[in-house]
Amino acid sequence: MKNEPSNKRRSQFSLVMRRLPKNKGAVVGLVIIAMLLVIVLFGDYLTPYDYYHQDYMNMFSFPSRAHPFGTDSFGRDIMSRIFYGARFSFWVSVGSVIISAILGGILGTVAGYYGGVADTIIMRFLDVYQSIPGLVLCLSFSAVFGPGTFTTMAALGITGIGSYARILRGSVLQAKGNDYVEAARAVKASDFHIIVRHIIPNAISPMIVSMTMGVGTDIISIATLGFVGMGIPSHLPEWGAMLSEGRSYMGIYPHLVLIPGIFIMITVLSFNLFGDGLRDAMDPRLKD
Amino acid sequence: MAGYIVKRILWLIPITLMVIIFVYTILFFAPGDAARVALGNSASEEAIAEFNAKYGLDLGYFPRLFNYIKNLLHGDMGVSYYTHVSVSKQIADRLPYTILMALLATAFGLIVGLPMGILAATHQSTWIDSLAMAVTMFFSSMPSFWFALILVMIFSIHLKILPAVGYESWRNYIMPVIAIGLQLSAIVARQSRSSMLEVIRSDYVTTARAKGQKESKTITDHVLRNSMIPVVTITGTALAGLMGGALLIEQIFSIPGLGTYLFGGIASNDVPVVLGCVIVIAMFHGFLMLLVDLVYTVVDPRLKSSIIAARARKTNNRGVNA
Repeated sequence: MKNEPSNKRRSQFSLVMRRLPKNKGAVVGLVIIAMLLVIVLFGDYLTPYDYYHQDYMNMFSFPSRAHPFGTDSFGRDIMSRIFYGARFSFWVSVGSVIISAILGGILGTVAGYYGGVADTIIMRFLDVYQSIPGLVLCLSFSAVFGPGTFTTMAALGITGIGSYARILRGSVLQAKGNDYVEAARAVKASDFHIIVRHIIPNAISPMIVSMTMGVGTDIISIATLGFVGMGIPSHLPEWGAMLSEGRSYMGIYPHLVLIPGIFIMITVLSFNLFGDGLRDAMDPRLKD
Repeated sequence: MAGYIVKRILWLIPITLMVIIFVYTILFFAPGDAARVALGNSASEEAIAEFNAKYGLDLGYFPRLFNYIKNLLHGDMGVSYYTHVSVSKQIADRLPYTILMALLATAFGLIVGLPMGILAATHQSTWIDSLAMAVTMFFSSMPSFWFALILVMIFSIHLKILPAVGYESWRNYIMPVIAIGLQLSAIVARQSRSSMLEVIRSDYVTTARAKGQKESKTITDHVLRNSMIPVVTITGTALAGLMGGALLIEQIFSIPGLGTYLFGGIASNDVPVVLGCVIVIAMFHGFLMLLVDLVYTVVDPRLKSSIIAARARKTNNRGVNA
């Protein structure tokens, strides 16, 4: 009896958990994300300097033992600034993606589930919303909300709702046609119950993949805002703002531009790798 | 088909109107006193009142909006609060640079990305595929403005073979186009690879191969054509996005495109400038999305009949409901 193949139904979650470790890219991405999280949480203890400590005897020093990433135009330790800045890139992007996913998800679910007038209104609104470039929306919201960490998160979050709404609407439409939804309706389950218990769990996979990728996109947006001096207040060591500061000296001191850029790229890369692996692991057509 | 196109173009009018109202509302609530910014902090109360009256800033939400739309219908986009230069003239001056850069970067993206994607898909699971996917993953994760700075560092500062800033010569566009285009090519390559692989799995490809069709002919006749729709979508969306101006690239290379103009407008709450740019961008977006849908019907003629069928269905439904 023991050797008989088990007929136990495997949950999507356990299937993904089994497939994911086999995907090299996803594992690499996850390891980098974990390392980044260590920097975000314990960055202050990893370097002996404060991110704002100015040392005028040591301006523009190249990477050395004392300053592994060198120092900037005020003699501030770049490694400390990068580590401190990681928290903005990380939390603001994760937070903004969650805001986008929740708001967009609600819009998409309502549009997909109820259809009819609600669907028409929401989709026409999205047509309008998405014909305004993301950066324009984001900059305008930033201007309205003012500079700051939470305001930037909100601005990015509201900007991003369009694609999530469309994705979830699509998967809700698909899930809605299933027999088990029909069955739940037949026993008079409430709309809320059907949506939360039956539709969302079956429609969520594409959403999770684009949320992971979305973190990467938002990290670049945060850096873009920082580069033009909007978003995170400019006295804080946001990676994009550091790039913009270093730009004036890049001919002689390339590390001022190279290091923040490399960190932005690696962070975005890790989320993209993980998202890519997640998509493959969730793909029901790829049976193992 | 012509009716469909006309309908789609007419549909742009309400969309653009909604875009105007939406952006106007955001800007209305943005902090910042245009008169104070334009006249300086030492300006007298009378001067400020005069400025506000001149630009209609003393009016409420609705009168200002109606005035703007009324003037717009007369072809007047207003003047900038600060430079007093006509917005439509500024946009007309700047648009060519933006269009040129967007088209060149998109062309670059397709020329580099498409062959890479095709090569990766036809050599699935070989070193070519792995290399192409690694390279494209790398480039799609790289912020294009950072890549632009690296290019400037190498080609302008160290090798001194390309101009770092300016917009007069064709040599000025090499780095901006590569900076934007390379990222786009990575996205195109990944998309074309994955949609080709999807088509390659389908039965008619197996049939074609079983009948002894040459592999190259199978790819060009059966796979390529049927896998290009997502690539067209991605390219169209990217081109539409670039029409809004590539803000940071324009800033880095001092190219007077739409992006920097729009950014200046947002940063200083220069409402006519922002609305003018947004209208132009929304129109471009609408036309490009229409173009994408029309390209679909060329790539896959079945869609043409489905558009006509959908229209017929809609009319029928209306008939039933009424």
